[in-house]
Amino acid sequence: MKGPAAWPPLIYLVAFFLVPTCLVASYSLRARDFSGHIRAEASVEGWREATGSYSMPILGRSLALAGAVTAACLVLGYPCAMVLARQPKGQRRAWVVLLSFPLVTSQLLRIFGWLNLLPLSLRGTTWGVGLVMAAAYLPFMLLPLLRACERVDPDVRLAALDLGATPWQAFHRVTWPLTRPGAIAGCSLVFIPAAGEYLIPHFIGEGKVTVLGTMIVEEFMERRNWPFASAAAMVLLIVIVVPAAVSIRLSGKGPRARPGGASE
Amino acid sequence: MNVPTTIHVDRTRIAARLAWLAASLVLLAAGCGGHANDKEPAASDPSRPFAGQTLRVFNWSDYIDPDLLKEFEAQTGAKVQYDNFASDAELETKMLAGGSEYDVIFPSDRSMTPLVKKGLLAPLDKSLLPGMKHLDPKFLDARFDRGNRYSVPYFWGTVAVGVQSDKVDKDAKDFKVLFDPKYSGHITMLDDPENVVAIVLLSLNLPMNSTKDEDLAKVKAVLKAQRPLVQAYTSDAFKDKLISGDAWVALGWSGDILQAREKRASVRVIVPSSGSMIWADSMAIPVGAKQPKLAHAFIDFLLGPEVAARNANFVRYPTPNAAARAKVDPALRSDPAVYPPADVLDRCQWLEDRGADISKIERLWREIK
Repeated sequence: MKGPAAWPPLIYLVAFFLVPTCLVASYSLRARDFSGHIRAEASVEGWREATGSYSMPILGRSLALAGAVTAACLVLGYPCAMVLARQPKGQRRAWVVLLSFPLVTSQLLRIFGWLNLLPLSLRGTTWGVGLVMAAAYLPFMLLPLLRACERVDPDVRLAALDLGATPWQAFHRVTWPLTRPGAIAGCSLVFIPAAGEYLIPHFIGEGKVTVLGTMIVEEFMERRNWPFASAAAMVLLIVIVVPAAVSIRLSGKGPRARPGGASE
Repeated sequence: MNVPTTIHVDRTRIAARLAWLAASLVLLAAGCGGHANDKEPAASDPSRPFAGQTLRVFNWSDYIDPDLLKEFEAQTGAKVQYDNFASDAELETKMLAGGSEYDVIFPSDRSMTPLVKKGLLAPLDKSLLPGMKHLDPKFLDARFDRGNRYSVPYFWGTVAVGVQSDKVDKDAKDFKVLFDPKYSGHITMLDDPENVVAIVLLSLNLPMNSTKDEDLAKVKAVLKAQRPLVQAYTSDAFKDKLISGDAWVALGWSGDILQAREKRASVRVIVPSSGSMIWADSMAIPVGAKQPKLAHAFIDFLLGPEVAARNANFVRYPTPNAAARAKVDPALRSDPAVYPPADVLDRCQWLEDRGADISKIERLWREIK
């Protein structure tokens, strides 16, 4: 895009993303003021802390947790999407509405529900946090997967079977490549917010599961260590930009299951 | 969606739209700004000297008797706009970002040091605060504000331990109960390195504000051994956990534990006789407050013995107002968990500003969590 048509997204990008990001980046390179806020002089102490021996294991834990949650959502979501895609249209609509229902309720409300539901032995553990996160993010995986599965003509799979493919081969060689863009979209919709998740680890983790999201809030709000918190936010941003770029590249190529006009 | 579509639109139309957008943004900004300076001429009625003015108050949640606000409005004719904050940092961040949107704030003793240091508080005009004479001198001239230039004490309290009397030994009487493996999985600690380290130092009979490496090493050993026993590190959920019975031993603020006891009779409050940490919240006026006279009037209103006693009955924290204390509900007044005996109180200590040494305590906390 060029010319004036690009202005609205440009204004949006500058005002709501570039300016705040530059502010955070500038905070991360200043010295810490122990009575809160930052001092004028430059310092790399924030970055040293954000890439040091305390932060790196927490970063690793956050990414592992987000990866596990994404994998769990994919494993749970894929068969669901395949089954739903074969339902008659009216029923499918009803299912989609029901499955998206959690998205219209308050996330806090659902977390407090889980707090009552989870046994004491799961609260305050990484397993408990992962379980609640997987439940919370499942719709984000399911909806793009369902969309992708709907677009696959069932006859294509039947043709593969007729031509002698085993069911596994038909899935592996036909269905999966056709639905992969949906899976990639679902995975990035789950992984990216999960890596920076704050609310669920805060409430379900009960102060015993520190991830990047809770660490940043804690350093910023409780310790008033703005340079460290800002540097950690920048690290998170960089770590997130990489998989986002990869997923954009991946979904850009590969077979496109898009028979014209088949999507409603 | 992958095909970029070039939309050809007349440039002048785009420019006109942008101009319109800019104009509406300016109008919006003006609308927001105009809201802040609605100074109306004071009414001539001398019985309602502040009629038409708005007092903006920023306080902790559930920390005032709401009836008192209505009474103040009726007496002065002013309107009270009352907002809440949930942490020291929330208040400090708001003040740093330009606190003039509030007229009266209620900082903790820990917040007072940075607020004074950064010059964010306006000096008080004592001639407008005759009610200060009711205050207990013990709570005046505090280290964070010598001579009470900027602040007046509001409520105070201690750090205490709430225990379930049906689960925990009857003779448990100090912080040692927090580290007892018998209560494994049912202990909650404040999620706050400064307070927790201070409490562990007290339980080890070491100076509460110590930042000596050898003292902190001992603290670390205690906290590391305790970690597997801890159900939660939380500064807000311990009250609910005491009420639900999930927590058997909970470190927390005395008033919150007393509120839990209201809801669950088996909760017992331990304020160690060897002394605890004492804290106080103050009333102060930010620099640039829009209604400083009204702010002083509000502070003086809350200093009145009758009003302060009713407020103390409501919030269940001990009052620093000596004249009001005589009027507080006798059951509350005689409760040693609310007002610890004088000898215990003498052994209680204030948390001090550790400056850059705080990073030692933060490092310790990171290593145990």
